[in-house]
Amino acid sequence: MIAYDPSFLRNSAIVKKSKQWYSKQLISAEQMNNILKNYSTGFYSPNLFIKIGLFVFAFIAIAAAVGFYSLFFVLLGVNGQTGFFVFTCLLFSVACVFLLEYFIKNKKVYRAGVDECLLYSALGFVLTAIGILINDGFEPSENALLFCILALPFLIAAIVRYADTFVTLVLAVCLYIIFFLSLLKLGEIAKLIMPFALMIVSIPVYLLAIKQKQKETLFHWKKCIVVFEWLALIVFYLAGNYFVIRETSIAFFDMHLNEGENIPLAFVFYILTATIPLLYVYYGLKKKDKTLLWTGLLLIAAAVLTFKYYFSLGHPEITLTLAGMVLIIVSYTCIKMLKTPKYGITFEEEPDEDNFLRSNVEALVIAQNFGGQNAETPSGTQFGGGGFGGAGSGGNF
Amino acid sequence: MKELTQLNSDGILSDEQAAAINEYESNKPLSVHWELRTLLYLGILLFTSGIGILIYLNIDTIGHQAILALIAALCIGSFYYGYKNKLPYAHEETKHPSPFFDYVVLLGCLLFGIFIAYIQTQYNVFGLHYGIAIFFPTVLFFICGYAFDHKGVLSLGITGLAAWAGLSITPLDLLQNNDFSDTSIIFSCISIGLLIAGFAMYSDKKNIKKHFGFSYNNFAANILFIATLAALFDQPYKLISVLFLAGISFYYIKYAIEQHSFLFLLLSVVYSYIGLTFCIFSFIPLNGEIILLGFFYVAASCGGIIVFFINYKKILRIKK
Repeated sequence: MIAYDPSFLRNSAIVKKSKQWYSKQLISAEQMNNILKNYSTGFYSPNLFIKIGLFVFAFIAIAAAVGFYSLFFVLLGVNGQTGFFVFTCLLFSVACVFLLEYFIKNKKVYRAGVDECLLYSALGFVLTAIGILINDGFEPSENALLFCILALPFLIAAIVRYADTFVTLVLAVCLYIIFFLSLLKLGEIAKLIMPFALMIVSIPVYLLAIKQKQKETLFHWKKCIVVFEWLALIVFYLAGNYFVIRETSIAFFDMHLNEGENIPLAFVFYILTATIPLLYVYYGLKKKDKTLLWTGLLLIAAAVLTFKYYFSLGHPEITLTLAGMVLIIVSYTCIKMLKTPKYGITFEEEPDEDNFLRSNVEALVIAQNFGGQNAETPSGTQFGGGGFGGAGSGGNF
Repeated sequence: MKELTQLNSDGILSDEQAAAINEYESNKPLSVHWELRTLLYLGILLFTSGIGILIYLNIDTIGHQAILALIAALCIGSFYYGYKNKLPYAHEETKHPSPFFDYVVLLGCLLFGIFIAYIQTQYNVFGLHYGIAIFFPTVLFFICGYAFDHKGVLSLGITGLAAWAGLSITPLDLLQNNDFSDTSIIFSCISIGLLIAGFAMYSDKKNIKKHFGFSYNNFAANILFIATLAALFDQPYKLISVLFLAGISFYYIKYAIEQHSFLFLLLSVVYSYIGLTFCIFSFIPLNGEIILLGFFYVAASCGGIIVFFINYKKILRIKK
């Protein structure tokens, strides 16, 4: 199913976890070396700069190839007909997928910029072809819904094969648009139930996502499922947000509000706007769930902006200063308080890959040089331990 | 957890270790390190912009002297804190344990820069000698960068140095006319770039603050490449420019291999590609069917660069 080598994917997960355990001194330097040796990943997965560069170069190359192809046929005297455009799009899409498979199979690229660019271009070409075809044969009012439905199989196929998070986001948005547009077909009643319908549909999406995330069979698609988790949380909030409801009612549902008038059930939406983000943060901290925590923090900002928009005091500079002061005081006290872990929450950095390298690379190099002899291992471990214990005060080697 | 069970069944981890790790994984506290740091940063950003607007709106009642005094006091306070808490100087990298130290030092340096800029715009202390106005903060930034081992402040210093050189070497009227096609600014860019790159090489050899090499070379590489490309595009010395471009590309590709730095590899390849493409298209006039050739060249060369990056270890004979 997945295009990338599954054993490599599994190995990189093992190495990542082991690095965290190593920086917490749960495994010895020798064991870490063993793991690095035995669970190697042959992926070509360069750092961010090269990745961006490769993405841009691949994009320019594809664009130039399209230019070359089109110009060639223009010079031959081919007129721009629908059939020709659709054929061109499909041809390039197939070519992109072909190249993508070649790069993954033979060059072992993994999230290297090239594969993403080729995948997005392939999908872009297919979707353009669909758009051209729909525009030719259908009423404009039906276009959006039809386009989203026809795009689904391609998006799903791409996710199953390449497990790309951005494509997953597009798919999730696509599904929500389909839901929204088909509900609109109900007519008058749709306007009343839309916020609640979107909120209610987000609940099973979220619950399903957090359940499926744990499944071992869906290991390769974990990040894709997390995208659904994020989006469900955000849609659940936005569907009940006062600003969103008021402005979309005016824009999409032809609602006319006079000065001082309010939308129906306004107080319900005020409460939802204010409480949902706080609940997210609370449950995020309680369940140790970073997704909930981060969405909660982002949405608190959205809630503050919403209330500011309708109940402004007319002095943005004072609001800015006060908000900044509150933030500084809150975060400073939290940092001071959480220096020692409380309620299962800590300010201490989670060991990640960079952190691992910073504090442990010396120990690992030493262990690699002497790793062969058993007698040397304990000293290697000790050194690593000392290095980590002094994390932050790295000068005392 | 699948990773743990696999390591255990492959015989790398013992049962006790696996149990210990399992316990750690299920009991480990939630780390809110980056969340709190982001909030703190956001708070500082909001607070300072709010204060800035407040002062701007009430400048008539507050008065410039009061504001200058406030900036000076904050600046001195920051430096006092930095001086009190600083670690002893060492040629190696020193990392301060407090998460606030770096921010306070940066704040002090930025405030000093603002102070100088303020008295220059308000009271015109340095007259038309803008070079001197930039010179003082630059010197301070360099001293602080080394004394407090702060890369951010060092970058400020490097930028200040370049600005100072540009202002002092380039005649002022030229700058005011916004005429950058003149050669003098290209020469000053190239000389400052060479100076910085040379100094970085010297410190690397002498083992003085080696980790600053990235900041120096990042600046030097960009300014050298851009100045050379500008010379190539606008000036009549085509051949010298091409040779010089090839030279710095070679130097930085070598540097990238030594430092295992992807950024410098990318910079060298992209800038030389731009230069090469310019040369090719300036030799071949683009009209009629030859445009087709142009498209082909772009598609093929970009493909070539991708292949180079994927196989660069083999091509450049890097072992690891």
